[in-house]
Amino acid sequence: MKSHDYHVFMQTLILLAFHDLLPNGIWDALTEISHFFRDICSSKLNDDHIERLETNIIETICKLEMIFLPLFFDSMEHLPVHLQFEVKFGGPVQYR
Amino acid sequence: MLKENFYAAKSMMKPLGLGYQKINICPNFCMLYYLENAEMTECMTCGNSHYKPRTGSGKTLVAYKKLRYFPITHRLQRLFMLPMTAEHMTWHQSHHVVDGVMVHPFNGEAWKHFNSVHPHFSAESKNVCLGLCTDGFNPFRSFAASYSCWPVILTVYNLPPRMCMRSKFMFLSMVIPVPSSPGRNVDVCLRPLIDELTQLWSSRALTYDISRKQNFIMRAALMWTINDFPTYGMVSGWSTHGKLACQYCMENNKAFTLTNGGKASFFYYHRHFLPPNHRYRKNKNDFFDGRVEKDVAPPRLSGEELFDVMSEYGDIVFGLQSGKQKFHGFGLIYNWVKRSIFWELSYWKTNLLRHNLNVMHIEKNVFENIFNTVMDVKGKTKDNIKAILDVAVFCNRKNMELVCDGSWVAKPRASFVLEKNTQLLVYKWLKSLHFPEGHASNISRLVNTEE
Repeated sequence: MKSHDYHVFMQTLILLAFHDLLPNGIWDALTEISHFFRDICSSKLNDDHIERLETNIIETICKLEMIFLPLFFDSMEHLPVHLQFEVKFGGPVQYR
Repeated sequence: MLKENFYAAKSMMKPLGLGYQKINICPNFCMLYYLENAEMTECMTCGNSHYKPRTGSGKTLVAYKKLRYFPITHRLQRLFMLPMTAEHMTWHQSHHVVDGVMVHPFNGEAWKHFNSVHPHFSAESKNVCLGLCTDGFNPFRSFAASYSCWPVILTVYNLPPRMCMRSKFMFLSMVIPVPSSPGRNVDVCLRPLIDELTQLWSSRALTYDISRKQNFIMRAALMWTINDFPTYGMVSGWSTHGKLACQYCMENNKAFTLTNGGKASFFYYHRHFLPPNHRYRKNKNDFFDGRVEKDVAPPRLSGEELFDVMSEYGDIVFGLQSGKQKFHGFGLIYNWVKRSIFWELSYWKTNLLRHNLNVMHIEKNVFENIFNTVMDVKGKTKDNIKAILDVAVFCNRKNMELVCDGSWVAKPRASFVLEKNTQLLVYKWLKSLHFPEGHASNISRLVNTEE
């Protein structure tokens, strides 16, 4: 798969694939992280929406912490916390 | 206007002036044979010869390795000479800004801050803002062979969204030669580019703008670099391995090394980023340390503060030995491996955002981790025996620990892992997928429901 396919998978397919198969709490957390990536990748962003993204992603990662095991959390699961900061300062992600 | 041979075509292109320089480089990335060092016969650090031994009667000296450098000034001036691009080069200051809506890096706070700190630069709307991207790729497609070539690309941010980041307006600035990755020696290769950027900031270039029919003095500034996470470490000088991988959190990091997994884990670490009165901060049951989180998020250091920190560290010697030189306290209180060459740019410390995290790369890795764990992919899942052993040490989850009964040990199935027949349902669903043209590649072709 090319990295764009992972992008499509993360933003749309992962929700449909696991719908009704995973317990609700877990599916909700996966939905939230999927929506976070969808929001942060949009080409037009509102300031108040960006502010909300930060609290949301931290809460989502806390939810994942309650579900998955310690080995799951490498640096890549931590970095989304800082993505909102970079969007606020650098603009939409497609230019960076 | 097809020329009869390659030589004639090259002769026709020559007067256009968009050529490149070949700069010889030590095969171990110790130094460039550049400016005052151009005539040296051997490397100052490793003693390797500059040129290959002569064979036969040929008089030409052949260098071991060559860096191709494409000067940027002429290419930027060319943008102002073409009527179709010249008028767009001031788009970032002439377009109508809608309050509270972000459509271009120009709307971001980093750019606004840069403009307020350097009013003499922002006063001329034709001055150019650049971004630098680099990553290694294998020109021969086989990913197994460690053969990597590093193009360095500059992007022009003055252009409107429909033109910005199009391949037409991205300038290949340098090709760092194969076969190995330069690693932290990338600074040696970037030297000519940084010299030219310094020149473009201070001494300027006289340029003709065809849309306004006038000459002006052009300046250019580098806004930030764009890399994936491993390259981020090479370019920024902060190693992205181990417990201190995150350059924003630095030493205020709460990551720890897993007893059985042996890897750095950022587990139960994100509660202190939450707002002060968040309900998760008071939750004692679901988080392993059983306490109320009172810590606050670590501060993000500004460019000036980082510049002061960096000026305490000496220069490292590049080349084969560069990986072995470690500053005192490396991996314990910081992860600095070098003072990055970008600090030589006088305005670099005033940039709010210097290096970007690559969202696509993070997205890919997060997806892979989630999918492999939920689908229990052998060898890739994060729900293996070592992870379960770590549960006993770090978590308060009795239902997930290994079950021992006399001579046998059983691993309980976690709630986030699908059963075999459910996994097959997902694979069959993926097999049946069809996408609109250009939306994604044919994913169904990659799924094998037989195994």
